[in-house]
Amino acid sequence: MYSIIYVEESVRDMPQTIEILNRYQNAAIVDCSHYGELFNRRKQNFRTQKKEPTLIIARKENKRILPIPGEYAIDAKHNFYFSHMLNCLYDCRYCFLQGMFRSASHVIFVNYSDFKTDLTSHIENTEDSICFYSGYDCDSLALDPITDFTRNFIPLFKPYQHAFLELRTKSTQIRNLLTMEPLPNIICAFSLSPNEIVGKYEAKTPSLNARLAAISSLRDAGWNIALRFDPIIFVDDFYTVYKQFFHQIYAALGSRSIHSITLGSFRLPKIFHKNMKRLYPDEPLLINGLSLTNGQIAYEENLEKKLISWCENTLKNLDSVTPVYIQRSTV
Amino acid sequence: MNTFIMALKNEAYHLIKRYHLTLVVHQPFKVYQTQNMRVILSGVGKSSSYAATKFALEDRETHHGLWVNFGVAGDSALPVGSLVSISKVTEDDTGRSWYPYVKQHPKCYVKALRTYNSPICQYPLNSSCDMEASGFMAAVSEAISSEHIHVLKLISDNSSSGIGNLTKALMKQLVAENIELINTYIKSAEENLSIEPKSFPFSIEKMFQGQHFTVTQTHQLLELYRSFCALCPEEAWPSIELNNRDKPSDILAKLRLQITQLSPKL
Ligand code: SF4
Repeated sequence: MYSIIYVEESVRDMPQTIEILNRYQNAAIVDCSHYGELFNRRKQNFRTQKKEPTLIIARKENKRILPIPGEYAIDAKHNFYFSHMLNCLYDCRYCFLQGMFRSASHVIFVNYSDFKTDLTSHIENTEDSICFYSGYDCDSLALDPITDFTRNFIPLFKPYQHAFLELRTKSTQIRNLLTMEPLPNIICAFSLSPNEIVGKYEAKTPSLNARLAAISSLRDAGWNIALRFDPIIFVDDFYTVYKQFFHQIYAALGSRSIHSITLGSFRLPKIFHKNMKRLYPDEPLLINGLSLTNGQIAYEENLEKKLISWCENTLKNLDSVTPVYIQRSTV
Repeated sequence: MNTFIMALKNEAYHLIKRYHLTLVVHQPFKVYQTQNMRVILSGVGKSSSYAATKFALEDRETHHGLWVNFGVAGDSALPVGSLVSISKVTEDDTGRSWYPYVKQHPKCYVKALRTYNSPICQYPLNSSCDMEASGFMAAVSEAISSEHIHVLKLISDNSSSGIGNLTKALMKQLVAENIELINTYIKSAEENLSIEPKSFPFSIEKMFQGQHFTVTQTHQLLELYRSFCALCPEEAWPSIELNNRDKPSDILAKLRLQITQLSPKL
């Protein structure tokens, strides 16, 4: 998959690096001193690079665990995110990473032990509930066969009942999870969209049916499942498309319990939207029908409220038990 | 338009011939050109290469094409005649590094390169060596998107041949032998770039004949045109009223207004 791999000199001999490089025997390996030299260059084009992304293997020096943006929290008292990776295998047209990062290169931070030390100290610092989100700057599972993220991080949570880890994904890479003991404080949160949207705006992602099959396998194996309907996109024929979609999900998943549902309509920080529009001036999704709402580019406020409350009611009619959290635009 | 910055006429000779380039500028650097390609002869050394690249960058119309530093280089181990796509350029005296874009090709090596101030007798172990690439990278990286930048070197001497055997005739011969491989490399590097249409259909061009759009305004006009096409694929152009007194900025404002009033079909 990768024909060029850049490796920070400081991680060149780490076992995780060696394992990854062994998978790509034909790739050209290029030494670099810091991933930022490539990833943060001023002049680069995310859209062009997305066609053939390179891989950068690096060390995350500091700021490994960060407080989450306000809207992202669910029900824990303390909420943080961490990113063992930057960027994603998939190519969702609405993805804010396109507006946030200059480069489409995939970065894997392989100093897992530093992440684990930081996680442990955060967890042990509190007796309140604490949740860590791993899918903010990437898809948590899409590269799991390469990063071995789940095998490395999930066992850390076993002794701590007050600490939770959310894996946010559209992926069907669940092989590692299926070989592990399921833990009650790990949340496998699947982002789902109607087939029409998957086909149009979620390039390279597994189909809705494939995601539903992955969810079923994980649930059968005893893992906690959460559903994420974010972004909700105001497509033509919205109510028919989404009604059919929600019914399809509940028909496939049956009545067994779901950890949580979150709902959020399509929204982007203003600066990310500006960058994305520059990359895709020919993408109707990004061009019109949006306005500046609560500091973000989103659907006009009344429309947003209408869409979300319709989705919430429809879901509650299908499932009155699972808690539904609304994630609104905030600055 | 692809731009090649090269040190010597002998290195450029077969490219000029292959692409039917003609000499269009004599000073301060010789420029050989056709519609799609130009070769700029910088002279030897990184300062010359820097100056020639800066000079070439003044023509902003060329910024969408490839920018290639091509020329001969030494290497401790690679066979003479090997074509190398350079993955990292390090300036020997300052230690500064740059990362040109790399296009993997089965007949092309990928390797790092060191740029020296003068010819060296002892080849570095893990990189090729030359005297120009760092000057090119220092200038081009400020202005051009990284995916457009390539450093392509042809190995002309190595530990067994030594630099003493490098003649003008050998330079020419090596380029001649590799000209089709170079051409293939360039074609596949170009494929990576071809996302955005860079010009308007003739009918639109004609509509704005006589107007002077700056490079930035042309770019904005293209973006608006692409947005319009995405929103109204059936129509050729928005129905805006233009009059003789409209300046490019007025035209852009009218277009922007019209386009924001359209509803996307999702
Ligand atoms: S799966 Fe998530 S992270 Fe990946 S491209 Fe889509 S939205 Fe972005």
